[in-house]
This record gives sequence, C-alpha cells and structure tokens, in this order.
Amino acid sequence: MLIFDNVSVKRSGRSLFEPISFALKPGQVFTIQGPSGLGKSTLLQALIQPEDSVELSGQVTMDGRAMDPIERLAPYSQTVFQDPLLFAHLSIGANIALSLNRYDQAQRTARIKALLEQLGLAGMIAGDPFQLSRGQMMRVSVARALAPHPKVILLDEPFSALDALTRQKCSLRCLTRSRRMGDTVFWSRIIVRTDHLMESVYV
Amino acid sequence: MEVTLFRTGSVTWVERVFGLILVIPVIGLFDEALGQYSDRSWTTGVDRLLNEPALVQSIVLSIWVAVVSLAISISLARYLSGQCVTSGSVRRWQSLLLAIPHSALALGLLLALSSGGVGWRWVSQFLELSADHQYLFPRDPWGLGLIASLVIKETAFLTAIAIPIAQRLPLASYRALSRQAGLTQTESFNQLIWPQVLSLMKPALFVVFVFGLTNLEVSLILGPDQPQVFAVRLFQLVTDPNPLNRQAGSLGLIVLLLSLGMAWLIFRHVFRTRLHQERMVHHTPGWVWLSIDRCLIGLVCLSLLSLLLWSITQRWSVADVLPVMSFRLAGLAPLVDPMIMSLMIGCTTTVLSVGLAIVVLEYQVFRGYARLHWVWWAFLWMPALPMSAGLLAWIYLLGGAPGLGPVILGHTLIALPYVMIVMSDAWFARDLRYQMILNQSGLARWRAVIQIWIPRHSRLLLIAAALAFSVSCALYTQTVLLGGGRIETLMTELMVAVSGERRIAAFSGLMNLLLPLMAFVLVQLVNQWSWRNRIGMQGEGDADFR
Amino acid sequence: MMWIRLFVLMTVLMASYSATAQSWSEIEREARGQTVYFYAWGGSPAINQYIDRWAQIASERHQINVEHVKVDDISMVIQGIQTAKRVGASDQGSVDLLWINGENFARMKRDGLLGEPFVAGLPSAEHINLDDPTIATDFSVPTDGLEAPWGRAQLVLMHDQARRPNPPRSMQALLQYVQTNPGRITYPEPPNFHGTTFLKQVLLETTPYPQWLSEPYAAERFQAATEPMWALLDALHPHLWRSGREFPDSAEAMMDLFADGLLDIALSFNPNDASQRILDGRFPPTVRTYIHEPGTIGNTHFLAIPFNASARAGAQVWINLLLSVEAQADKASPSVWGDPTVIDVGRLQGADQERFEALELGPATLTGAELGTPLAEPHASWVEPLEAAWKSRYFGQAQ
Repeated sequence: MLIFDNVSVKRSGRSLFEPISFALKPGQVFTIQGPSGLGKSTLLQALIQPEDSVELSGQVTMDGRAMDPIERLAPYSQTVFQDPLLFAHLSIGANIALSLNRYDQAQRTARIKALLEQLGLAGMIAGDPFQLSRGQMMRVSVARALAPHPKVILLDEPFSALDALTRQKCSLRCLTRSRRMGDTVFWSRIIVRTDHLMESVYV
Repeated sequence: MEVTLFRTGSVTWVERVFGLILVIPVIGLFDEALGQYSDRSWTTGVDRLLNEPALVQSIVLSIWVAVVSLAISISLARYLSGQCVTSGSVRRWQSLLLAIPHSALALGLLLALSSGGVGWRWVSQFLELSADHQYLFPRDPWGLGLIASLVIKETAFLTAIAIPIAQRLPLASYRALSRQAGLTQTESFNQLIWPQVLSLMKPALFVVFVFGLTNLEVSLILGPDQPQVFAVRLFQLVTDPNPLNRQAGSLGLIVLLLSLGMAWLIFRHVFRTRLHQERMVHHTPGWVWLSIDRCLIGLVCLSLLSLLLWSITQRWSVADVLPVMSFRLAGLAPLVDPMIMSLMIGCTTTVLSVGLAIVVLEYQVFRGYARLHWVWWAFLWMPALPMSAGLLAWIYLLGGAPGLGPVILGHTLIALPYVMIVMSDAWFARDLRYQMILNQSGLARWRAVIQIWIPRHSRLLLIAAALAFSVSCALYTQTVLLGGGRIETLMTELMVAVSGERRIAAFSGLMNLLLPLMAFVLVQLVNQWSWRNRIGMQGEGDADFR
Repeated sequence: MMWIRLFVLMTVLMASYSATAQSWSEIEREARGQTVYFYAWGGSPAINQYIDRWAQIASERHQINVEHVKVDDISMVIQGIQTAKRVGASDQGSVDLLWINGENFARMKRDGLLGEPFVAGLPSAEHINLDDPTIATDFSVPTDGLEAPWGRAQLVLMHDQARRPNPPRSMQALLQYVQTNPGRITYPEPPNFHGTTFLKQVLLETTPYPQWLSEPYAAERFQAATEPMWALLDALHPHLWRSGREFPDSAEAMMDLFADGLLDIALSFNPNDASQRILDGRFPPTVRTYIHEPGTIGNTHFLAIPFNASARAGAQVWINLLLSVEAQADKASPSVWGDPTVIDVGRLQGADQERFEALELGPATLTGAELGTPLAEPHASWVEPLEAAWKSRYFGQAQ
C-alpha cells in the first residue's frame, strides 16, 4: 500500500500546490490533474530522486515503511514518460533489460522475449529502437516499465502525444492490465499517473 | 534552453582546485620578479626590462598582430557560419583544419613563401622573375605572414564555436521576421543573428586574441625578426642564464597578465556596443570573404605540399623547377624516438584529460549545473609561457625536477579545458528523465556512467580524445620548460631543426601534422563503423526526444 | 744511503701511480650502469649520428647509457643548473654533461657551477697537450681542468667557384663586394653563436686596439675599440640580404640559402663542413672553402660536468672515450663530422698516428697550412656587451 500524507513539493521554499493525501491499494489508479506548470511532473521527479532546488514535504509510506529520503520510491517504481526515452546506443532488448537489472541473465532474457511477443515486436530483441515508429517506441518504453513488475508505476502524461482513440485504448489496456496483474503471483502494483484527461480524477 | 556560453556565480570544489592551478603559477612568477634570485630590487628589474631595445615596437607589433588577425578571423567566421546556417553548407574539412598544429602549418608556410620557398620558386619560373627579387613575407616587419597563419586556424576555431551557438537561437522566428522585413537570408544572419552570436562568443574571441598576442611557436617560425613580437622577447629573457634578465622577463610576464585582465574588460565593453557590431557587418560583399577564404585554403594546401616536398629534397637551386630529391630515410631515423615520445605523451594526456572531464562533468550534472563555469575558459586565456614558467618554479620549490611527469601534467592542464568545452554541451543537455529511469533501474551512478553514458556519448568522446591528442602534439613551451629540455617530441625536434637542417624540419613538421590528422581520421572511421546499426547514433549522435 | 733514498722515492712514485690507476678503475666501476644525460646542440644530423654511434660503443664497452639531449641554445640548460644551485639541489641534477665554450664556460665557472677539476685524471689526456694555450684557456679564461677539450674550430667561409670564383677575402673587401652585389651577403643574427663570431671577426679586423680584446672587458674602452666595427656594419647593412631587415637564425639556415643559390657566401666553424655537404649532395661539387687574409677566429670546444651531475663517473668515462684516438679520428673524418682533433698528433706513434695522417681532407677542405694560425678569440667578457650593443643599434631599425 502506498500512503501519501500531506505531500507537497516546494521549489525555493514556495509550495507548488496544496498538500495531497491518499492511500492506494494494489491495482488502484490515482490521477493528479491540473493545469500545465502546476508541478505534477516535478512531484513525480521528486518521488524518484532528490534534487537540490526541490523539497518534498509530507510523509510517503510504502508497505508500512517510510520512504527513504535518498532512494525514495526509485527501488519500487518504474516510470513511463510522455516521450519514449530509449537509449539510442542500446538494442530494444537492452533498453528493456535496464529495468531488469536486479534479475539474473536467464530470467531477464525470458522476460524480455515474453514482453516483446505481447507487444507484437517478437524477434526484435537485438533491433535498433530508432528504427521503430514512435508508437512502437512508446510500447517498448511501457514494456521497460512493466518488465520488473514494479510495485508502483508512475505515468507522466504518457499518452498525450497520441490521438484520442489510441489514447483511450492504451489507457484502458493499461488499467485492465494493472488490475489483472494485481491478482497474479507477482508483486502488487499501484499506478499513479498524471494526465489531463482521465475518468477518475482527483483535484 | 538558455543560450549562454558559460555560467558565473557559484563555484564547485573542482572549479576551485582548477582555479588554484591557474593562479599558482602566477605566484611562482612573483618570486623571480621580486629579485629573490637575482638579489636585485624589483625596480632594477623594471629598469632592465625597459632598457630592452625596441621593446615598445615589439609590444605594438604584438597588439597589431593580435587585433588584425582577430578582426579578419571574426569576419571570415561570420561569413562561413552564415553560409552554414542559411544554406547548410559546411566546410567539410573544418575539423581537419582544427587538427593541424599551428607550428606545422607555420613551418609549411615558411617553406612555401620565404625566399627560396616552394611558392616563390614556381612563381619565378613561370613569371621569369629574377632570383634576386626579395619577397616581402613571411618574417616581414609587419607580421603579415604571422597574421595569415593565425587567421587560418583562428577562423576554423571561431566557426566551430559560432555554428552551434547560432543553431541554438530561434532561427525559425528570425527567418519569419526577416521575410516580413524584406531582408535576404544573408542580411538576416548578419543583422539579426550574428550580433547575438558574437556577444555570446566573447570568451572564444578572447581566447583567440590572447593566442594571437602571446603565442610563441608560430612567432618564432613566422614572426617578424627585427624586432620579434613581445612573447618571443619575454621568452628569451625568461630563459636567459643571467638572473637579472630572468627577473626582467618575469616582470614582463606579470605586466602581460595584468594587461590581459584589462583587455578583457575592454573586450566586454566593445562587444556590448550594438552600434559597433552593426557597423562591423555592413558593406563588405560576400565574394570578398569567399575570395579570402579560398586564398587561405590555397595557402594551407601549399603549406602541406611544401612540407612534403622539402622532406624529400636533398638540394634545390632557385634556377630549377624541381629539387634534387632523396628518399633515403636513414637521415630521418633520429625522429623515430621523438615520434614515439609524442605518441606516448599524447595518448597519456588524452586518457587523463578525457577521463577527468567525464568525472568533472558527471559531478556537475549531479549537482544540477547547466553550464560550465567561466574558470574553464580562463584556462584558455592563460598564456602558455607564464603558466609553464610558474609551474616549473613550483616544481623546484616542492623538491621536484623537470621530467616526463611534469610534461604530462602540463599537457593535461592545457588539453583538459578544450575537452571540457567540447563535451559539456552534450553532458548538460542530458534529459533529467533519463537519470530517473536509471535510478529506478537500480544501476549505481558510476556504473551508469560506464555502461550507459560513455557508450552513449562515445562519438563525442572520441572527437574530444582526438582534439586532446592534437593539442598535446602541438605543445612546445610546456614540453621544453617542464621537461628540462630532456623530453624530445616531434614538436621540440621541429623547433630545433627549423633553424638548422631544413629537411629534418620539414619531416618533423609533416609528422607533427600527420599524427593528429590520423587521429581525427581514425576517429571518424571508428565512429562510422561502430554505430552503423544504430540510426539514433548517426550524425552528431544525439538523437534524443526532448 | 743513496739507494735507500732511491728506494723510498720509487716506493712513493709507485704508490701514487697505483693510487691514480685505482682512482680511474674506481671511476669506471662506479660508472657502470649509469645513465649520462649529455646536453649538446642538436642542429646537425651528422654530429647527432656521431654521438649516437659512440654512445652505443660506450654502452658496449663501459656499460654506460648515454642520452643525447638535443638543445637549440645551451644557455637555457645553464639556467636550469643555476636554478638547481639556488634551491640547494647539490646532487641528482638532470644535466650530467654539457657541450660548451666561451662565454657559457666563463659564466659557469664564475657562478661555481662546474664542480671539481677532472681533466688531468683522464687516461686519454696523455695524448693532449694540456698546456696548449687554445686548450688551457677558453676565450682567454683559464680552463683549470674544469672542462675537457673535445674539438677545434676555426671560422671558415664558403663560396661556389662556378658562380663567384673570387670571393672577398677581408671585411673591407666584403664591403666593396656588397655594393656591387647587393642582397647576396648576410650573417646569422647575434646572439646566435656564429653571428656573434662574425661580429668578433669584424672587430678583430677593424679594431685599432687588438691588445685590449685579450683582456677582460672594460666599459671605458668599448667605444674606442669598436667604433670602426660599427662604421663598417652601418655601411654594410643596407646592402645585405633582405636589406638587413631579416637575418638567418643560424649558420645552417645560411648554408641552406647558400645551397639554394640565394647567397654568395656561407660560413661555418667546421673547416670540413663544405666537403661533408658536397659528399652527401647538399652542396654542388664546385663549392670551396676559404679564409680571410688577416686570418679567421679559431677556438676549441669543450665538455664540462656540472657541479650537481648525478652521473659524474659515467660522464668522465664518456669524455675519456670521446678523447680516445679512435673516437677523435672518427670525428675528424670528413665523411662523419670533419671536426679537427684536439689530440697532439705528434705525441702518437705507429698506427695511431697513421689514423690521422691517412684522413682524406675532402674536396673542399683547406690544409692546415692554408688555414694558418687562427686568430685568438677575444676575452669571453666582451661577448655580452657586443651582443647588447648590436641589438641596441640594429634591432627594430628595419630599412
């Protein structure tokens, strides 16, 4: 379970938004919505790594333990961004393998192959990611995030670059998967995402 | 993204250390200047300095050379970067020009243009000019030969700095504005874009000015003789066995450094005045600069040809079109050991400077900085002679002795700022979100540098390595002073031979030129081959989504 | 009683001889394995090759490693030794041996940079007449065994018989020559060694007070002694190569211009230089050497060990080898270096003597009789004032 207690972000001593509090169980999706420049992305960044000019106030608890001030949610989470952010020098498989750093080689390869099959990119483990279309690159980016079965998935406007229909399909697939995966033998996952357009909204 | 060349303000501990390295040699100079070793007062040293014949002429000559070469280089760089920005045409051999050491180019020009030079012989054959006719330059009293040599390299350097700066400006907006104002592309570049680029390039312009004012090797080869430029006069004083002369030389170096500080203030004022900038860009047709550019390229080709030809010349009478040639390499065997030494020092300097640059830049990115501090540019402003003389004084004070270690230290201190400046853009432009992904992957920061960032920036790192290598190959003052004269490189052999055996000098120059060229060519080939299966790594190798 | 005295005398003599012989053996033993850093002018490939070859022989025979550090101007090296002395670095110096003479030796001797005398202890010195004034003094400064003679030098001039069969044979004749042949004559720029020597030659040929020049410099005598010299140079300069706006950096650069056909005369300190260059094709075969009718300056060049040399024993062994008959004969050969020997050939016998007598002079080399008695160098203390005065007078006075 992920619990936020009066969490806010301060930059140069000034809070960017009113403190937020919530508790999330595995499989739940939490959305932060607000105008551009509010600090949503800053919050996501602050949840993953400390920055000199950014202060994260309030208390974040993960499975009953307070979040480490240095590592924060990084060991438990993966992020999908608005852009694919794939490394140009790594193959498709190696890009996904980045998030499987804590797995051994055999498990890593099996997991990557399985994901690529599901994404319709079978046989492209050694392929050049920049040969793919942007949509395909986004899928690889999502695969990288989902590959290690993270407890928390952070989504930073992941589908805003897609057309409305594709965006809806992707969102639905993401939600369905998260709920289904929440019932599997792997770690439960909690999704927090920021987006302009969503069904369940927290203001 | 904010368009600036360096940051001011807060300084990391790394920059404090390097700032100290910059300042410490100057302190070493004061020891000598205040008469510690000559047992004379500093006023006696000043008297000695002022009694140097034709000193004022030397100073005026140096300023003239620096200002004229800078002015011509700026104008040419404006023309060339304008061509690149407006029509996409780039001088393909730009990086090759940067790779050619100053001294090799200067020697080639001397062998080409002096009385008895390659160019003169062929001209006199075809135009049937008398062999008694005396050419004006190089080594002419106005420094025209020296200016020509400086302009060739300075233009390449300034253009290489200007183009990326110009490309970071909102060019599309400027184009739209220009269309509305009825300006041509060239007028738009000259009047709207170039003044901003020039203002942002101030540190690079100052580097060029300082080099034009204080360089030693090119002045010794091509510079005026009667009198020599100020840097050569100071070098002769500082290396004289007479302690009083050395005291005078150290005083002269301190005066030079203070003058450079004042010159920087004047520089900043001059380039702030927009009116002056506008006046600079008007009324000179493009074909003028194109012609000058082509002439300079012709000089470079002639210089290279001269080096090649004199390397195989046994004897060449002015009455003959071609020389009596000799392909015997036995006479060139003495250059083998210096070549090996150049390679060894160059490779060590490259590894140290690129390695240090990666560590420093990673630290700066980790601390959240977005630009290099100006102290790195200050390294390039510091003339080689006072820096080396001061470092040597400290080495003695600390009980050390000149040798290979100090030479490598001296070379690394010069190569490192160049490498930092070349690499910094890519490091600071790194998308923060990539680091977030790596944090979440559990990869330790140092492992991320080795497994991700070094390969990711490998194309740039190889170019920086080639640059460090070519900088090391070209260094003379540092090698001579910090090596105690014991360390023989191709560059030291060139400077010994330039007033001695012409064939040895030409061959030294040729090798000195080929080594960095080969490094650049090798880097290009490796870059092309190693990432041939990665589209995102082609071109500048920075295909990121921002 | 007489026999007892004789016995005691013989014992003392034998003891001192064996002490000397042991000393040299000890020096040789100490030298084994040492690296000798030999700082010597590196502008001549022929000299560099000679040094490299004999360094190899030194390694084979004496197990010493000689590193030839090529320098352009030895005064820079002397500055390093001065620095070492002032910071109190009395051993582990980076310079073990220098090739010097003249004002550089005078400066080092005056500043105490040369350590103990060593020349008399060298076995090879038995072939050298150490009392010869040209060996016992260096630019009129007594050597006191602090530097070992290595070779002889005499200023010679070169011309191409095919182009200019009758070169001027005095400075006055040179002045007349340039007026009818402008732009064909020059000399290396002082303080280059050969340039300064040209000045001294002019001075010796024109001064009304030659006796002052062998004495230490005195400021009150300078103007009177040099006035005719400056008058000649003032008249000469407008007709020089490039109108005196530029001077060659060195005698080698001047020889390049001469070989190109741009100058009518070249000069050198090595009487065999022209022959050597003809032999390796750098000069046309019609070049010949000559001297001025009043004679030309001659001197000896030396090898000196700094006070703080780290390989003093190795340096002595190396010098001893260079002074051997074999090495000196090799050096004197025009096909190698052509530098005249310091050995008194009259002291040699048999095969050793024949080595020198069998040396072929080369196509352009003057005989000993033709070279005549060289003019003595002025006292070393005259050099700096001459160079400074030349600079003051002509520096920056471009026509």
